[in-house]
Amino acid sequence: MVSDVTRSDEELVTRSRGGDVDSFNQLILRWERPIYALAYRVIGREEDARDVCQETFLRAYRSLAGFKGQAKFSSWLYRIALNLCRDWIRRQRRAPVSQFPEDVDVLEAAAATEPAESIEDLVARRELSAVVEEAMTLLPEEQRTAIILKEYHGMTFQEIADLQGCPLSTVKTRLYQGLSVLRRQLERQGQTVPQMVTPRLRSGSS
Amino acid sequence: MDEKNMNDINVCGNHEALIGYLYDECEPAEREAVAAHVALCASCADEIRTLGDTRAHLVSWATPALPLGFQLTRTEAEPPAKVLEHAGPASRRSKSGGWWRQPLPAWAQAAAAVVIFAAGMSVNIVRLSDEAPAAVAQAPVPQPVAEPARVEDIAVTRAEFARLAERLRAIEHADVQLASRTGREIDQDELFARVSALEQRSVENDRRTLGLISTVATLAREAENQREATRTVNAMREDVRELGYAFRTVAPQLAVRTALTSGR
Repeated sequence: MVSDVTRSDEELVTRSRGGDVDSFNQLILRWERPIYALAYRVIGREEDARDVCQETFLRAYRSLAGFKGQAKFSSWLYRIALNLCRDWIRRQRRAPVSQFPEDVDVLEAAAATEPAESIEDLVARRELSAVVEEAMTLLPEEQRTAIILKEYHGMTFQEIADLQGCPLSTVKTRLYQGLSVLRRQLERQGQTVPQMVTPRLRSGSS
Repeated sequence: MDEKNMNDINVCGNHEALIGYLYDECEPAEREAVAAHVALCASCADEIRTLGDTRAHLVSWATPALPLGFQLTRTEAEPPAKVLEHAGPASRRSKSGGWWRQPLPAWAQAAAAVVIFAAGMSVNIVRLSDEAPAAVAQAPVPQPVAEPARVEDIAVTRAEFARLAERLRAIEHADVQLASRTGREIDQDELFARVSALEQRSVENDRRTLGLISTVATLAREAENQREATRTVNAMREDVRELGYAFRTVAPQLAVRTALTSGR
C-alpha cells in the first residue's frame, strides 16, 4: 500500500480533489516551508508571511477543481503565494521591513566572549544575513522576486518567466540587474561584512 | 582571431549570456563560447567572479525557523433542522449543552444559527503550532458593552459569533487531526509543542467565550431596558391620546358652560 508520504504531488492532488483531506495535508506538509520561506523573503515579516502561507493553501484547496495539471502543482502553489504577496505589498504601500535589529553590534558582543570559531562563525553568519536581507529590500519587487525564486527555490529561468508573466530575457535582465545592485550594496557595507566569512562562502556553493 | 572577435561581440556587455553562464543554464555551445571568452576577457571574467561572490553571500540569508504545522480542516454542514433548533424558543431548548443553548435574545439566536450554518460548510487552514491561527489571533476580544445596544454593536457581535464558531470547530477538528498525525511518526517534542498549543488555544477560547457571554448578557439587558423604555413611551403616548380625547370632549362643554355663565 502506498502511503501519502511516497505519493507524487499529482497523485495527492487527484486524491485531494476526491475529498481526501489527508492527501491535501500531505501536500501542505511538503510545501509549507518553501512557501513560507518565499513569502518571508518577499514581504519581510514573519507573521504576515505565515498568514500568506496559510491563505495560499486555503486558496489552493478551494481552487483545486480549477487546477488542470497543465503546470506543476508547486508552480501553481508558488503563483498563488506570489499573488498574495503582491496583494500584501500593495496594501502595505511600503518596502519590506527588516526584522533584524540594527543597533546590536554582534561582532563586539562576540569579541567579549571566549574566542571560539563556531561562535564567531555563527555571529558572522547572522550579521551577514542581516546585511543581505537589508540589501534585498532595496531591490525593486520584480528583481527581488526573481532572485529569490532562482537562488532559494532553484527555479529555472523559464519557470520564473512563467510565474512572473514575462519573457525569458526579462528574467535574465532582472537577475543581472538585481545581482549588480546587491553587489554594490554589499560592497558599500563591506566594513560590516565579516571578512572571515567571505572566502569560505566564495568557495561554497549557492 | 575571428572567433575571439565573435565572442567579444556576443558576450561583452551581453548580460543575458553572462547570467546564463553564471547559473549554468544555457546551451552547450553558448556555454563554450562564454567560457572561451571569459578566459581571454579580464573584464567579463571579473564580472562573472563578482556576481558569483554576490550569489555566495545570498546563501547566508536564512528564514526564521518558526513552527508551521498547517492543517486543513473541513467541517460538515449541520442539518438545517438542527440549526433551526438553535434558534428555537427558549422553552424548547435543552438546559444542557454549550453557551448557544443558554437563553439569548431572539436576534442573537438567529444570528448564531446563521453563523453556525455558514461555518459548517467551510474549510479552514489551522496551524498546529505554538500559536492560534492568524485569523483567530486577530479576532478582537469581546469587551463588556457599557452603552445601550446599537445596530453597530449587533454587527460586531455577529462577527464575533462567526469567529467563535469557526474557532470551536477548528479546535475540535485539530484534536482529530493531531490524533491522526501521531500515526505518521511525529517527533515527541513536536507533539508536545502541539498539545501545549492546543491547550493554550483552548484556554484562550474559554476566556473569549466568557467574554462573549458577558457581551451577550449585557446586550440582552440593554435590549430589555430599551423594550421597557419603549413600553413606557407607548403608555405615555396612550395617556396623551386619551387626554387629548378628553380635552376635545370636555372643551365644547366648557365653552357652552362659560357662555351660559357670562349670559347670566
